[in-house]
Amino acid sequence: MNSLLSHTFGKSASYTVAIFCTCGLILLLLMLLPLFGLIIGFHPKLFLASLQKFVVWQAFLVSIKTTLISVLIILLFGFPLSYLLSFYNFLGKGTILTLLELPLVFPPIVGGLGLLIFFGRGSTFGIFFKNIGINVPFTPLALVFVQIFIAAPFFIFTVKSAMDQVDRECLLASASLKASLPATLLFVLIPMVFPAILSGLTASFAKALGELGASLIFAGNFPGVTQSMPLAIYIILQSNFDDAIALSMLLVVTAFLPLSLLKLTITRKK
Amino acid sequence: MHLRQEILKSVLLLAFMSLIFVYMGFKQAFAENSRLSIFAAASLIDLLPKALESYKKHQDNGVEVTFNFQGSQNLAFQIGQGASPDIFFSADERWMTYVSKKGWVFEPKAFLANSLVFVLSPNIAGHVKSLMDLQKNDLSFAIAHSSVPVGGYTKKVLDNLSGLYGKKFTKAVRDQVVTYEDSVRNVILKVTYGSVDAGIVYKTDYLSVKDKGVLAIEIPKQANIKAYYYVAILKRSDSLNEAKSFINFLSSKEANGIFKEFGFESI
Amino acid sequence: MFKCKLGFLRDNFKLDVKLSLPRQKTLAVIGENGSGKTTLVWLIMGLLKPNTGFIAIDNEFYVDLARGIYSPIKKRPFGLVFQHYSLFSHLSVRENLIFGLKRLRLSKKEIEHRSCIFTERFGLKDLLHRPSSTLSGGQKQRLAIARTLILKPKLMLLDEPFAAIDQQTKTELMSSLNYFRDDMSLMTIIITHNFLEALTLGDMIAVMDSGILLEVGTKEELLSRPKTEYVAHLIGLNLFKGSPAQNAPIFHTDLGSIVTAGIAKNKHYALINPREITIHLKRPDSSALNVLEGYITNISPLDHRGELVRISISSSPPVVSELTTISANALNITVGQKVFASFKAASVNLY
Repeated sequence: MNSLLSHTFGKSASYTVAIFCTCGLILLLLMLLPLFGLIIGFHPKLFLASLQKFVVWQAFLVSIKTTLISVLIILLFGFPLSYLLSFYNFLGKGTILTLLELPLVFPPIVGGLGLLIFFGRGSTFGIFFKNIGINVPFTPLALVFVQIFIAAPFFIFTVKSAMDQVDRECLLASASLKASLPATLLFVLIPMVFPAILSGLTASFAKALGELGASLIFAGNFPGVTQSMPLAIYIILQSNFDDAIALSMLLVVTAFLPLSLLKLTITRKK
Repeated sequence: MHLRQEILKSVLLLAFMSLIFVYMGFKQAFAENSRLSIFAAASLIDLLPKALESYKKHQDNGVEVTFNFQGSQNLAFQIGQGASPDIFFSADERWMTYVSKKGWVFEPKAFLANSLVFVLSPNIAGHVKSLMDLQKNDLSFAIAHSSVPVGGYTKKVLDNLSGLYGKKFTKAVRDQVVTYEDSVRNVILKVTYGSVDAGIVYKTDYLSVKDKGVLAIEIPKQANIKAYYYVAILKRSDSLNEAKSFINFLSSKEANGIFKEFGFESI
Repeated sequence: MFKCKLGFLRDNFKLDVKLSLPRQKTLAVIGENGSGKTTLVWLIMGLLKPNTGFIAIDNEFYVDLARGIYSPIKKRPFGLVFQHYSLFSHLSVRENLIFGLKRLRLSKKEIEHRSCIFTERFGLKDLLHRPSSTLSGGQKQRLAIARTLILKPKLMLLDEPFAAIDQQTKTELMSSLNYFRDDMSLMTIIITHNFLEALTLGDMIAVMDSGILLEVGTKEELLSRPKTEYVAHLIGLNLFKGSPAQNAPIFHTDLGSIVTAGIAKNKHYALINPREITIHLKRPDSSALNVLEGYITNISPLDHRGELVRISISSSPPVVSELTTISANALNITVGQKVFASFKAASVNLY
């Protein structure tokens, strides 16, 4: 094991490093257990058979459709929000930042309950939405709401953090070189925070895709409409174990794919 | 050399720590004997604790009881995955047969019956007054999905109703379903709080939320089903005596009185 | 002719400046950190909005708040080179260079044309396609100036352009700037905290402190007749404010008294050239009428060749002496040492 500090501290280091190695190994193993489990339960033949089942693809489509919409909304609305939070100071900014952390500390299932009550047919808002023709609970729209709630903070904080680190003088330089704000955003700011935008998007995508707790309560379970992949896994688990495993594999790969593609493009650029 | 020493040390530490964990695990397993773990169908969530209370008044043998209420399909699955309750209550024959065929339980016994009913959420009370009104097509329905006992019964009842009132009726109801829940309690919850307008649950579930303003529409006897609950003791239980004792109590007059109170029918 | 008058107030900082600068001339603005130099330049550029005032070149007013005129940066023919270059690190050298040209939507031909000229002039030819983050300090500064100059401004504002550059690069850059200055009738304002730099670069020098201009003048004016102690101190002269005694050849200052040559009337300043102050290790036995006792508080080289040193002494009043390094070494003096400073009464200039 090579480190800059390999020879710095001499013998006194070896015990400490040994303990660190043990702790690190244990944690690593614990974290890899689920993956090991999936690999053990994976049988190529059964996997392919499951993939041909309608219920599996149905869930996949529901997940993909809703997650892509959610991520798109997060991008289009989250970027401006990150910008405002990074470059402006205003009354209540601290409160807003704390509120945005809410989905990170709220158990998803509690979030789902809250949404259920808010949009419930008994509540004033619920009735309002029903009257203007927008039906939310038990529709794909409900899934989108839930996914945005869960995933948006990941995007916003990643991008805001990157924006915080942009040298303000660079933006002033852009202005001094006769660039308007839109031009500065397009040619200076966005290129500078682009890696953060991508990483925020991939994190949001994965989070949204895998959301179960809140969607269970708020979006309901209707195959083809609101039965997302995670929900399908939960429901199908009792009747068809192999289908559930296949769906799990599918889910993991789908969540992982954007991240790995991203890493590939970045390393290629370098 | 340095590297090897470090690896050796970490392996030793790892081994030592795993020994500690194993020891603690053993200790746990051999610890309490007077514990009863009961897996029961969700619709028994109000009944069983009450029955237990009464049982304890009769026989205070200091047994500690824990319940796990979920859809019977979930419970059967967990048992299959290695969960080891002492007693399993199933809301239908199907899942009891399943665990029985796998050889996990001793001879199951039927002990309770229930029937289904349509329920309406408080906020559409005035809107729906009879069975026929359910075809109105502007309601949202929640029912359990087919692998849940009550879901299977719901399917049967709806089929029966199409025989009685025509296919149009059943189709109208089915088209208004917006969600298939994995437990009957989730259905009654959603109806009670107005997230959906109507649902199909056990009569006993309706009775448990009657005071919250939920209304019921009876299903004609010809179309309704009788849901039989089964109970069995798990073979791998190590509290066989305590389990037997509790189950015997369930056949007593006292217990039957409690069943009636909640709206169940005894066998 | 560039003219401006600016009043600006933000938080507790107040700025009040009036400037004029003829074509093809360079103004060097010196001041300490926090004196408002950068604020001044940002106000002229348009990055900040003044509360009152105007900015104009000849008869063209870019800002005239009294008449409600306030041109955006795009319309002002000014260029600003930032203190820390602020290059666009994600862009190549060439992209940085033509950034402003693209924003002004000039034709491809024009962009190409100017790009050629400035690449050549600023020695960026071999660096064109490199990412700008990989350049050395000097190269970065060249690029920063080039990308601003390429927009052909009438007035160039440079914020501490030579803070971290070696002498040779500095000379090259100045000659490039001067080339364009003549070619484009450029006016330049350079901000610096180094007085020597200001002296060498500026046709005119302005001294700024706490948001106001203490003095503006040519270097000759400043060197011979500094109007404030602050400036004199900056220059390294011994200037004292005070009043002459009524009946004796003595000049009283807050920090001590000096013997002068002759009785002075109505003179408020006493100026002594540091070179006329001699340092002794023991109380001297000379004819000089002024002998001050004190401790050495600072010894610093005066020029970049290290041939002269400036020595500050905490006497009453405190004085600054200038010696050749050789002499200083011969004396073998250190900071904290007790010394005697002497100078003739005749060396005291009163005005």
